[in-house]
Amino acid sequence: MVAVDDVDLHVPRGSVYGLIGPNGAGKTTLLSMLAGLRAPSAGEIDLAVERSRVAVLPDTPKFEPWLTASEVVDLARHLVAPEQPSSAVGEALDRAGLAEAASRRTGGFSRGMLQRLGIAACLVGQPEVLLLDEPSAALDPAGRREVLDLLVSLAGERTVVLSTHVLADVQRVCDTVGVIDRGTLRYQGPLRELLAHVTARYRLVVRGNPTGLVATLEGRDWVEAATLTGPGIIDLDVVDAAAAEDHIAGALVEAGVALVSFTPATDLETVFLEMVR
Amino acid sequence: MTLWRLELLRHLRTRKWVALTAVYGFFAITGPLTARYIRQLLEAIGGLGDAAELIPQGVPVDGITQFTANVSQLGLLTVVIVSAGTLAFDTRPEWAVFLRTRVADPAQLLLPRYVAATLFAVTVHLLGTAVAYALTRILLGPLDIGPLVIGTLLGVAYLAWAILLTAVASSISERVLSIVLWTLGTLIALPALGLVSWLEPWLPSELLGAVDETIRGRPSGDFLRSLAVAGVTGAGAWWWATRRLRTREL
Repeated sequence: MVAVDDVDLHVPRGSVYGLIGPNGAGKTTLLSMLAGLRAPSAGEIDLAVERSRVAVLPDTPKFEPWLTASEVVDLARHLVAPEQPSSAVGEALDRAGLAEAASRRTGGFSRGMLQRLGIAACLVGQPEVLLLDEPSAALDPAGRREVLDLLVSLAGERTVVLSTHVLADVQRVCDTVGVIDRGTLRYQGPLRELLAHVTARYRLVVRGNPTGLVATLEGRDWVEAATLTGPGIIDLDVVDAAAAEDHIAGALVEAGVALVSFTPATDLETVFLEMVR
Repeated sequence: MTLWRLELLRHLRTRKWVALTAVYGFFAITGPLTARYIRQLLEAIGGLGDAAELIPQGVPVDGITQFTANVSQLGLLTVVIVSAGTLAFDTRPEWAVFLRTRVADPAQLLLPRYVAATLFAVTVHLLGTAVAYALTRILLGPLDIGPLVIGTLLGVAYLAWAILLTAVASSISERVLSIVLWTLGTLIALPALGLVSWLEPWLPSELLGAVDETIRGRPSGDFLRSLAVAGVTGAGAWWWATRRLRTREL
């Protein structure tokens, strides 16, 4: 069985790249090979950066429970970037929101704290690329939010490649995505382009009589379908997202209803399921 | 924080030294005591009657012999268990990822672990021998220290060799229990080769009880062949262990 086949990742420098795919798609295997933890059974792996400039974080990082957070990060500093001053340890912990826990032993850390400590241990080495395997999979909502916020803050500063099957996380933090399924790359590129591959959907919430607006919208050539889904709520499938955004105001005026909200409703899950179906 | 300091902290904070010290300390005290008071002990628990005369009066070498006999078994077992816990660095994959992705060569991880495990075992062994010697001197009389030191150093060489075997086992298996069983199996099986009489003087296991022989007058030169074999096989074991660790995937 081939776990990963002829995958060529194009990861823009400074981007947050989401590697998404169903369970068993080959995400972890691919990251392990990129990290040098596994060798390909055939072929070669070429990295555009030195392997020493790549930091890796497993999905559920664990450290020696008798080490303090500061000692873990200092060990990482010593092994990867001994030229960095010892103050870099405190800075990395501070960046990860663990400054106050610096002298605490990791044995008492929550999963979210361990994840952030792992990221701090990566950051202290000033890597060009961070490889994160399912960084939020094992976290509770609060821990997940902390880690995702931290990743968002890294955008533009470091290149982050994260694998996940939590599509909401990708939509929240990633600007570039790669869809992997059964070991092959089905798509890679900007997230917004991926979302534009499918019919765009918007949700309209209006005040007034929505029935007239539905009729008005159905007469437009950029509208595929307009469906009344609740009191004052219309789901709008469009064939041309740009045209929809340009002309929706005119349709509202024509129908004589007031706009409460107009929001994109196409989600990555829809796109993803279409691609891997 | 260097890898060397990491290993020092591992032994101190996980209290691995307590297990070693407790075992060696216990036998360092009970060895000479048993040698000195064995007759009184047996009389106290059941009465020996005339048979008491058959038990010889303890002599100084008996104090060390008792200590060596005990630490050669339970002491070695403790050393192997403690060392296996130290050397099994792929037991927890997440921590192994942390370390392995931060060094160019996994041998960098093995060396401090091996040295620390060996230093702690050797230190405790030497301290235990020193305590046993002091008690022997107090309870049973003086003992020639030269042969004791040479015999003890030969025993230390065996400990270092046994921990090298543990390192080899850690490159074969990732689980501490498997590492312990593999190492003990090898350590127990090797002396069986001594049944072939011409092989016996070459076996590293001869070093284990060398001190018991040297303090009774056996020339230390008799153990040079065992020492040489331990050195050569130890070097080979190190090469093999590091080679396997380099190619092992997580």
